[in-house]
Amino acid sequence: MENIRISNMQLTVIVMLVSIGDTILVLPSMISSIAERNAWISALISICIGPAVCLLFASLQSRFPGMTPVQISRAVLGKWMGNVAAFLFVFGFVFLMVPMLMRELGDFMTTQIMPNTPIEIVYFLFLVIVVRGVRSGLEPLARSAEIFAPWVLMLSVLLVIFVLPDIRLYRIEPLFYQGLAPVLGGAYPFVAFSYFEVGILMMIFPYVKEPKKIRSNLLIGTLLSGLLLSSVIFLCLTVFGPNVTADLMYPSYLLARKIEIGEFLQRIEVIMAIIWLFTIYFKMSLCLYGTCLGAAQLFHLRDMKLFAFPLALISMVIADRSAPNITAFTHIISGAYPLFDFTFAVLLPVLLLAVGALRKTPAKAQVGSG
Amino acid sequence: MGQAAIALFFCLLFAVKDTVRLKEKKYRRENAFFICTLTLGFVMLSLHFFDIPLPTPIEAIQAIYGPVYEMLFGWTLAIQK
Repeated sequence: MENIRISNMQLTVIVMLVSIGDTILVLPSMISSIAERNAWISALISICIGPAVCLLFASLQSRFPGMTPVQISRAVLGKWMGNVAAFLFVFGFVFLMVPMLMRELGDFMTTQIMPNTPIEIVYFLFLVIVVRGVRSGLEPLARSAEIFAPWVLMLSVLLVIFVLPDIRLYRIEPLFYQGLAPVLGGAYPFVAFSYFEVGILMMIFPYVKEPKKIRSNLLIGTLLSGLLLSSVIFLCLTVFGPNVTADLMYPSYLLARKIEIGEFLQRIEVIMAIIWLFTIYFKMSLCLYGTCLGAAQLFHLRDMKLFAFPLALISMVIADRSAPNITAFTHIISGAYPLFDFTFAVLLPVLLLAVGALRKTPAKAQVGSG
Repeated sequence: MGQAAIALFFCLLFAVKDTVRLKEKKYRRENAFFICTLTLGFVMLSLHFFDIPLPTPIEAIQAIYGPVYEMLFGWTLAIQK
């Protein structure tokens, strides 16, 4: 379909940005409400589980090199079942992430930064740049990710350094005071949002220059994001304490508000907002790109980019209709939604690998073909 | 309604640009799919702006996975006790 290539370095950066994605703002509160003061241990456990999930994506890629999940489903499950599985993967998993991310962004902007602006305007303005990015293609998206990723890392490190004086370690004591179950429960949203959703990148694996290095790219990207997210969770717990972290909607955003150096450097919470806008932009753009690519492969179309705009329109409506308010939306994304992610990020790849092995499906290289 | 009008105006600009390019015969299939998705988008957006309730995939996810989550959650609580 497109004669494009992205470098392995760009893939690592993309993996990191997608894995951080929307989670950096909402995850600390979600995990703290389950694991309380041991949320940081849940984060560390997730760093061990997450890369294993990403290795599953790499295994599927190495078993069927140069093929997207749409093509793999067709090759493994046959025409009818394969098309149904591919349709659900593209429009259920990859596409549905766009309105979910958009809703999170809209809620954040209208509750924290621009309370008098209608949420539809936030959706619309953000969608214009997302659609523009998708229509530019994968290579420009990957190049811009390479430019913005150091900023995300640098701003995150600055945040950590500035908040260090406010850390009080007694707030996370004692360890495992409620047993292991809440700690493992806390790992559930972390793994789902940070690692399962990296599964959308299976749509772009065929365009990576050196496919053999995808495994290490995934591991490095997820490790970096995991460390960053864990340190943000640790900071939230040690600065605010577990109860306040769980009660706040965006604790990491308020964490940045705590920074005060010599009465001249204060109220720099917008640093956190900038990090989040960068990461959510790339995640949303890649989701929409994956949907357009998947739709083009499903329906045998020559041009995938023209779907970006109509799909963005549809996602705008879904975002607004997904929940009546921010509390109901948080209930959905922290409850049933991770299980839905699990179906497509773990069960589907396992099914494809198992059926592919049983049927001895030949791996046909179809790099970039529709 | 002002926001809807602005949004629809920009949508129309995008749509016209794509439709002009898709007039060639070899893009017949693309044209059909483009018109279908765009119509769906416009209809959904219009219904949304007139506050007509629409079923969303999120409700379906909640209906399918909600009970499974409740069961797993209950199971985790039982283990904890």
